[in-house]
Amino acid sequence: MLTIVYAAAIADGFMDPTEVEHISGLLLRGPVKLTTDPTELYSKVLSNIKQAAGSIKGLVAAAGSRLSESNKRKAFLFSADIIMADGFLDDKEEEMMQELKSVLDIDDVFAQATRMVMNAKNHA
Amino acid sequence: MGIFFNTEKAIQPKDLVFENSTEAFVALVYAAATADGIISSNEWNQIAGMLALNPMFKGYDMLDLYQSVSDKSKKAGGAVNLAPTAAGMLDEFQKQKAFVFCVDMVLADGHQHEKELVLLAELKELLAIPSDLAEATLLVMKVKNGYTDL
Repeated sequence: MLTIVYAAAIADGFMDPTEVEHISGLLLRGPVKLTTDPTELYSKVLSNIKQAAGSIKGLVAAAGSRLSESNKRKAFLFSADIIMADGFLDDKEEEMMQELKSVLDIDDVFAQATRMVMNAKNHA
Repeated sequence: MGIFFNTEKAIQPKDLVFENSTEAFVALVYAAATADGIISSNEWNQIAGMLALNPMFKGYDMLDLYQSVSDKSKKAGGAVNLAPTAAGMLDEFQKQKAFVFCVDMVLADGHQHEKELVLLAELKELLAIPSDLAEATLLVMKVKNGYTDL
């Protein structure tokens, strides 16, 4: 799940401080249940991202295939929260939202509900 | 009159004044958190963490905000008495944002109790939340908090 959320955070090409804080929040307060050392887990995710440079979508698909249906929905909503954290949705981020919806097999109702809620939550 | 939020203006704290809408926002979330009982300091720390991450609070000293709300809560005889005045200070967008935070908080324990349903209905009314946003928020926050009865 953390790999997907991290990939979502860098969808626009860089990670701003708000996105870093959001990811730190996921590690500190769940939903990512830590069974390993956070530093080790984070290093592994970063390593995966670096190795997948240029094929982030493939990495997201591979990570998504390891998740249960309920965790796919959680991954989608946490990714949407981070993608929309700065209150904006540029073209690359919009593309990532569509990609996540497809890869994680998210139905239209939940996708639309998530957008509506994250827009309300992150409105500046 | 509501069960949790008293909307009768006549018995609202007369001298209750919030510094700004940001303080009113924190007061409203705090009121919702404590409406059906007492929250632990651990739970409040989690809420405070969520609030601090939101762009709305950039540049604010969160500890000062919490202290100020806590003082006003004691003076008003409980945080729930702050809610109607606080809601009145928020614009449409701030009300919707507050509703999202409150629903997340109310559903955070993974179990939905009857009192919580009443609380959410009162919040929806107090904040004039459109039904489509209310339904979307309930769905998304249930998934976030691990509910299986969707």
